[in-house]
Amino acid sequence: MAQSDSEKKQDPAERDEPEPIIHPDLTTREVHRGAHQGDKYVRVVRSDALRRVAPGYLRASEQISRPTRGVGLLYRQLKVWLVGKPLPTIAEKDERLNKLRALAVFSSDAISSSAYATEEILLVLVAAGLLGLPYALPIAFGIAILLAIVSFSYRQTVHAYPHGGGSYTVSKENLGTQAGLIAASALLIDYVLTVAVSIAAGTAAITSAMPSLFAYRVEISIFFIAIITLINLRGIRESGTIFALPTYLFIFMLAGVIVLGATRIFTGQVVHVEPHFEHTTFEPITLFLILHAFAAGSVAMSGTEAIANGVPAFKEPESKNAAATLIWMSSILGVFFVGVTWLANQFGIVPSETETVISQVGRTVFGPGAVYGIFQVATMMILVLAANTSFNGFPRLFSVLARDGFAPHQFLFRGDRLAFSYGIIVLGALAAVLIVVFGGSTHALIPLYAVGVFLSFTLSQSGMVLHWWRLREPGWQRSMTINAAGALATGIVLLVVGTVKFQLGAWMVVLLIPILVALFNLVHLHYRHVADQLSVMRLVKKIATPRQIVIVPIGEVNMVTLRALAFARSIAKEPLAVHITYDANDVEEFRARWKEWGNGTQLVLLESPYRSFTEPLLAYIDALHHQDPDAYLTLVLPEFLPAHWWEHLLHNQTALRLKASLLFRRNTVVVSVPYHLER
Amino acid sequence: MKKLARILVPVGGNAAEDDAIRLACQIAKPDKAKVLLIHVIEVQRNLPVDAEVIPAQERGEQILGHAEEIARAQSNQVESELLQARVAGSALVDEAVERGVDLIVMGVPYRKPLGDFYFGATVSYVFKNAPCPVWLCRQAATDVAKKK
Repeated sequence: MAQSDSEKKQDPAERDEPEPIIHPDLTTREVHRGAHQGDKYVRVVRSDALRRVAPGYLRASEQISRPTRGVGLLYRQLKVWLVGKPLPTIAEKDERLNKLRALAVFSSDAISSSAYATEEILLVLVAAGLLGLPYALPIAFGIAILLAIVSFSYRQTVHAYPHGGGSYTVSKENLGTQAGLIAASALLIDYVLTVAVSIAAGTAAITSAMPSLFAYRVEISIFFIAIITLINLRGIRESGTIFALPTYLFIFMLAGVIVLGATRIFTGQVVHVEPHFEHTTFEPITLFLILHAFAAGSVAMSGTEAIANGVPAFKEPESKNAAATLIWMSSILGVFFVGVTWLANQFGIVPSETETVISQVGRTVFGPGAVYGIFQVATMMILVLAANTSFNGFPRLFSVLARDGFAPHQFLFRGDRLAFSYGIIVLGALAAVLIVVFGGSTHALIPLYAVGVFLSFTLSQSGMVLHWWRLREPGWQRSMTINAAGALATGIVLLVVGTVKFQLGAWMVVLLIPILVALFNLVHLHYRHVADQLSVMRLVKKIATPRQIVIVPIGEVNMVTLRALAFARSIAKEPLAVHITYDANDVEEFRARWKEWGNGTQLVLLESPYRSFTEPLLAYIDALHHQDPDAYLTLVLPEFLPAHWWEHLLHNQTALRLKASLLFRRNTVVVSVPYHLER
Repeated sequence: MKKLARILVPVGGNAAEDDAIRLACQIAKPDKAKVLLIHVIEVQRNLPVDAEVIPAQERGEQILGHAEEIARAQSNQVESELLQARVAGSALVDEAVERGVDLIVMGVPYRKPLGDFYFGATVSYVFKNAPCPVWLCRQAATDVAKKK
C-alpha cells in the first residue's frame, strides 16, 4: 500500500530537508540590515529559559519552572501564594539573619521556658509545703549558673566551629562517629518533642480560655503545626520577621513584670502573703526532693544549643554574631527565670490547677485588666512559637546528617525559598503524629523531655574538652576548664533527670536513641556501598563501547512502527523486528507487508496461541539476551500518543506495560519513539 | 499619546538605567505594554560584526539579567535582547524600527567630562534618529556627588 500525500506531509522526518545545525549553547546569530547603506547589525538570539553564562555553560532562569497553563499553572500559583516566590541560590546570603531576627528565631524555645520552668520547680517543692518553697530560688540560681556554664561552653563551640558546631559535629569530630550519632538522635527526638509540647501548651492556653474548644484540642494543635510548617517553608528570613513580634512582645512584657514587681516589692506596695495549701500532710525536705525539683526546672535549658547548630544562618561575621546572640539569649532567659521565681516566692504563689504560676505573677503585678490580658496573649504566643526554634534546628541537623551520609539525601534539598523543605515537613508530620498519639496532652509528653537535651549537652561539652586538649592553642587551659565544668555539670544533671524521669516516660527516649543510631548506620552503610560501586576508582581499564542487541516490537505495519524502525536503524546496523501473532493464518499476510515496508529488516514472528503479548516477548528477550549477557539489549518501542488525554482510555497501553516489566532488568535499555497524533 | 504596545529601554550598565527601567515599567503598566531591554555590544572594526566576543557577551548577559530582575519586580511583561553592532546608537534605532517600538526610555548618567554636561554618542544618536518618542531619564546630580 502506497503512502498517501497527506501522510507524507504529516511526517517531517520523511521530508527531504537539509539537516538543521544544532547549537548546544542555544545561541544563534541573525544578521540584519541597518537603515543606512552597508550598515548591518547582529541579533544574538538566546533562549529565555536557559541563559548562556559562558561557552558550554547555561543557567536556568526562574521562568523554566513557571508553567504557563493548565493544572501546572494552578499548582504553581497556589505554591507561590503559600510559600512565596522561588529564590535563587545566590540569594542565600540575603536570607541570613541579623542578630535581632536570629534572637527571635533561635531563642523562642529557650526564652519561652521562663513561662513554665518556675512552675515545674514549685510543683515538686509544694509537696514539702511552706518549708519547701524557699528552695525554689536557690534551685533557680543553680540552674541559671548551669545555663551560664553551658552558654559559655557553646560560645566557645560557636567560635571553634563556625560552620555550625552543633552537638553532633562536635561529638563526631572529637568523640567519634557513634557519639555524634547519639547526640544527633537525642537532639532530633528533643526537637520533635519541643514542637509537640509547645504547640500542645499553646492550645491548652486557648482551651483554658474557651473550654468549649477542649474537644477539638488535637485538631487545633495540628492546625498550629500546619501554620508554623508553612511559615517555615517560606524561608528563614520571613519566618524570623513573622515570629519576631510575638517574641519581643513577650520579652517586653515579662521584663515589665519583673521591673514593676521588683519596684512594688522594694517600695512596700506588695505585702508578702503566706501561701495557702489545700493539703495538710507534707513530705520532708530530702536531697531527692531538691534534685527532683532541679531536674524539673532544668527544662528551662532546652533550646540553648539551637544557636550553636545554626551558625551558618547568621549574617557575616557568623561566629561573632551567633556568639553575641547566644549571650543575649542566655542572659534574658537567666534573668527572667530567676526573676519570675523570686517574684513567685515574694508573692507567696503556689501552683494551682486553674491558673499557671506565670499568670498569677502577671496578675499580681499588673492587676486584672487589659495589660494582664496582653501579657497572657504574649505568653500563649511565645509558647506556640517555641516550636519555631525546632523548625530551624531539626531540618538543619538532618541536612548535616544527610551531608555525611547518615540520613536520606533528600534532607539536603533546599526548596524554592532556600529552606530545608523535607526536614521541615517531616518535623511537622512527626509532631502531628505525637499530638494525635498522646491526645494533645502536655503532661504525657513533658517527662520525655530534657533527657535528650542533657545527653547532647554532655557529649558536646566532653567533645570540646578533647578538642582543646588536642589543639592546645593559646589559652586552651581556660577554654578546656570551662567546657569541662559544662560537661561535668550537664553530666550530673543528665543522671538526675534520667533517674527521676525514667519511669515517667524517659525510658522511651532511652530506647529510641539506639534505634535511631542503628537506622543512621544502616543508611550510611547503604550510601557507602553505593559510592563504592559507583566510584570510577574501580576501573582498571576504559569502558569499552558496549555491544547492542536492538529489538523493535511490531504490532502492525503503520507510521508509528516504521518511525520506530527508522530510529532503530539509526542506532544499530541490524535491528531485529519482532511481531507477535495470535493467529497462524495471518503470518503470510504480515510477511508480505513486511517485505514491502520493512526496509530489509530481519523479522521474527512469535506465535502466541494463548493470546498473551508481554510474556512471549519477554521470554524471547530473555533467550536472546542469554546468548550475549554482556551486551546491552535495547528495546525500541513504537508508541503513539493521542491528541487528547481521555483518548488514552480507548487504547490498550501495551508499551507502558512492557516498559514497566523491563524497568529493573539488567543491561536493558528501553527507548520510546513517540508519534503524536494530531486529531 | 497613543496606546503603547512596546517600550524599548537600552541598557549598558550605567547607574541611571535602573530608574529608567522602573519608569518604563510604570508607563507600560496601564497599557500592558511589553518592556524590551536591549544591550548592544559594540564590536571593534578589526573583528567581523558577528564575531563571538565572549567577555562582552558575558557582561551583556549580566547587565540584561540585572535589568530583567528590576523589570520583573514591577511585574511587567519583559523581553531582553543582545545585539552586536559597530555603533550602538544605529543598532538601537534599527531594532526599534524593526520591532515597531512605540517609545524609547533611556537612562542618562550625569557626567561632565569636560566641564559641561555630556549626553554621550549613543543617547544623542537615538535622540536625533529614533522614529518614535524618546524619553530621557537623567541621573540626579546629587547621586553623582554622593558617590564622589
